[in-house]
Amino acid sequence: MTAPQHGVWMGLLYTAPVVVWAFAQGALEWQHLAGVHMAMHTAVKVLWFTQIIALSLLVSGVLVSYPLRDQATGALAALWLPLPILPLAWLAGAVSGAALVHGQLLVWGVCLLLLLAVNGVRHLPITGRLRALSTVGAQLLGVAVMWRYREVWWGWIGV
Amino acid sequence: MMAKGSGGWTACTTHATNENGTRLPVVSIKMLKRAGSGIAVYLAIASCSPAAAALRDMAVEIFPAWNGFAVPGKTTEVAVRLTAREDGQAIVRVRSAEMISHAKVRLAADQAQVTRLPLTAPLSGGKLAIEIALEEGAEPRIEQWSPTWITDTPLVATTTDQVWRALADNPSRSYTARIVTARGLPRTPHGYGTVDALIIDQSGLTRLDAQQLSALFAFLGGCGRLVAWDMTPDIAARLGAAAGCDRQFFSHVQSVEGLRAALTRMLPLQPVALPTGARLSSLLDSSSGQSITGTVALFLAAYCVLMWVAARAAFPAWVVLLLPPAASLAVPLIWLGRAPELVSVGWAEMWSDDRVARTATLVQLHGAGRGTGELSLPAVGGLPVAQIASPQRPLRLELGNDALTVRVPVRLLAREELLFTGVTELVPPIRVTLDAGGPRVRNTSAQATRSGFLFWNDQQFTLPALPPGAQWSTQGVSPSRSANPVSGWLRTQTPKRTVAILLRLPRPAGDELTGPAPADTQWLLVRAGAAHATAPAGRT
Repeated sequence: MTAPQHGVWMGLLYTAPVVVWAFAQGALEWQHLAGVHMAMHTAVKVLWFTQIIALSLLVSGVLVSYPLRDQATGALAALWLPLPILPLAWLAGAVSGAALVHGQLLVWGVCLLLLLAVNGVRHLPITGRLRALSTVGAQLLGVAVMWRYREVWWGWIGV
Repeated sequence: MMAKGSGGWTACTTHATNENGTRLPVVSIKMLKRAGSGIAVYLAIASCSPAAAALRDMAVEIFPAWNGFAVPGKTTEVAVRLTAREDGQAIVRVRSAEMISHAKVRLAADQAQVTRLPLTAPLSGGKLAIEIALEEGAEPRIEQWSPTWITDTPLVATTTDQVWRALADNPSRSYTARIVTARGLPRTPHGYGTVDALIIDQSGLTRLDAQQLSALFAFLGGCGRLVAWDMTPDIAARLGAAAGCDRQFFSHVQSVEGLRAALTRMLPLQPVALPTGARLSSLLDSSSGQSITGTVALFLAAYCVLMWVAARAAFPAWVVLLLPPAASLAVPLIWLGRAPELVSVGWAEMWSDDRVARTATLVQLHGAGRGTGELSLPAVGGLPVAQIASPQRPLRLELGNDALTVRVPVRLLAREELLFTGVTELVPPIRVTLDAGGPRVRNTSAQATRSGFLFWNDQQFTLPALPPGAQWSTQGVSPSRSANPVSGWLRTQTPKRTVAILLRLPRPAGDELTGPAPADTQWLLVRAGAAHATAPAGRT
């Protein structure tokens, strides 16, 4: 399986639950404005976070054996796959256009940092399990920090 | 009036007259206050541009209904009179947390133009701001109005000094009586939301203009509490004929004792509630608005399948990477600017002997895009009382010369609901009587009626279709168990010793029933039984 395929599969894997969850949430009170609005709003937040998790997995574990170019392609596929959710959320009035742009810029910024971290670990004088553990550990730490301070960066984005 | 230019506060006009032409006290710097009416006005203009100067030079006078009395959370009406030095137009806007209403006013030089805006008084009380701007988005001139808030007890307004003095002696304090001028009465049914009862004499009635009479009759038809004080029998009879709810909320009295008795009887009474928006929505086709949801679900499913195929077939990377942005661009192309799906259901409710029905019309807009939806309704005979069923946002009303436009935000997959209530003149197609033998129904119209439902004694019967002149009774008929969505609610809403009949009306005939907001599906509820006395309750 190529890196872009990995990216698509990863993207599908994490997009599908978000879509299902958003629709299920809305279905609870589907015809109610607040139900759809809140579902879409939360879906976008969850989407950003799952994008970060997916990227972390892509660049640290799954794709670590691929060349950097394939790795970047896979990451792009994973990043871009849920893009249609974002204009849908905007049309539903759940988030503003500016918040969507800010959110994607932040996710891309995190993506860049993760790639740098993975490649930085490669240049450390460590090998084998220690290098793999360091890579995964750095990614997990990044994800944990993003989760811990999610309200902060959601605030930066404007949601 | 006051205006603040760049050099500080300067007076623009130093006097004002009310709608009657009565001169008001001279305006002082920073604040206009008319003792007793509670009107306070100031304005702030931070610019000296020609537009700002035109706005500043405009004479603005505010005439709230009920001489400035207002009740938090209740609807009222405010009239704004503008007199400009030059021809042009202005936008007048009044806002509260519950409602924003605005009107575009065409102005002729040195000619006063009066605009009446409906308003829901804020629950928090305080001052109300009225914005006047020359164009949309321009910096407005802001006038503030301080209503005299009535918060304690039901508000009883009267146009008669004698009545007001008599009611002022109210040891039980079960209501607050206030005297208002005939000119202070509203010109839209919306304005009557402020008072719990109105006592009007013949002199006051004759001083009302056509708009005020129309609004008064709508109030009366909508089961507003009205006491006719010392009127000639023919005038009282005409008012009584226009009353709704089997005249339970109308009395003609000629003595203070009779007046007190009428208030004691009427104030605790509440008209049988019209169905809520949720109740009416249960009468709509369950598939309403589902097509948009289906389209979105289909789009997402097709997109996921396409990406899966692209990944499985090992398409070139650029193809895989191009699909998501292409699909994202397709989303606004498909849905942006699409008109919302609009469905509605109408409900008219009256007593068998009434000639006026209360109406409730639920309009649902199922959003298919992003934008602002507009719903235009004729404003003949006054404004329909409107409220949003899910009041997360204030209702936005725009008043034109002959139409009322309700603006609602339209969002994909979101539903907006508007509930319009009003009254309409109507002769019911059936006559219902209740005697010892039970309820009897007769088709008094020239056309066959559809089958319907009859509610009586906590039971429901199926009313068959009746040809003109045909009669039907429940004798020998077994109660039915139908799946009508409002059956359970109607059984609870049909008091003892009364009967209610629910008919679904064909579309063309029903259009007249739901008054200002025609509906796709229309229902008529006719009640009968438990009559109340409306004769004069005594003589001084």
